[in-house]
Amino acid sequence: MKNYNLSNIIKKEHEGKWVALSPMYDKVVGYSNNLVSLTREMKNQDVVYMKPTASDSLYAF
Amino acid sequence: MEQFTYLGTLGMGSSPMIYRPSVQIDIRKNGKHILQMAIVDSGSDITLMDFDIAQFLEIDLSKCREVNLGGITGKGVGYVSDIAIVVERFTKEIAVPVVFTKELNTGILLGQEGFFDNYKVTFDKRHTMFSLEENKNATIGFPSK
Repeated sequence: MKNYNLSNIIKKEHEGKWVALSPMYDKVVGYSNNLVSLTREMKNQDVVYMKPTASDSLYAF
Repeated sequence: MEQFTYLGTLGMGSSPMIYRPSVQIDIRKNGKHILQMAIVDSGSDITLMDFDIAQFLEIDLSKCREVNLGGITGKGVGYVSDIAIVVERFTKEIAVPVVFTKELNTGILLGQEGFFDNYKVTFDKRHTMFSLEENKNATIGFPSK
């Protein structure tokens, strides 16, 4: 079952950056300021990308 | 109809967690594709994506129509392009007009034009669940160029 609570894996250093999650969302496989570089780093690994918001703000997009 | 769970991250609301309706999508364009988590945002007029995704998909934004954006944090600009997406647990590839912008604080917002045209979306915040149901008669009329 997928992990839908990312608070235990998304940390301050990931906020505002591109993060590569494992397919079950239970691990941060890599992260970077640059999406293209991150995809190159991940090569053909099975990952899902996301860009977490800062935890010290509330958002109305 | 498919049910999805809200994605929880650390936040600073009335509880230490923020839950947002998010879904995994496969974005396709120019023979490239990428899996991304996207927030389902009924308040967005159209789907918005970070500039970096356009760069990954090799979309030449200088050839795309420029549009003005407005929101609570102010105004900005974006560039419109058509892309294809496949939503997790669905097989149908749908065409979605997207505004690519540097003004986003996250990666992707799935908005009304395109996404909500194609899916009936039902939110259940109390249970941190939402559902998506394909609208088989969807039409998209947003001119991207």
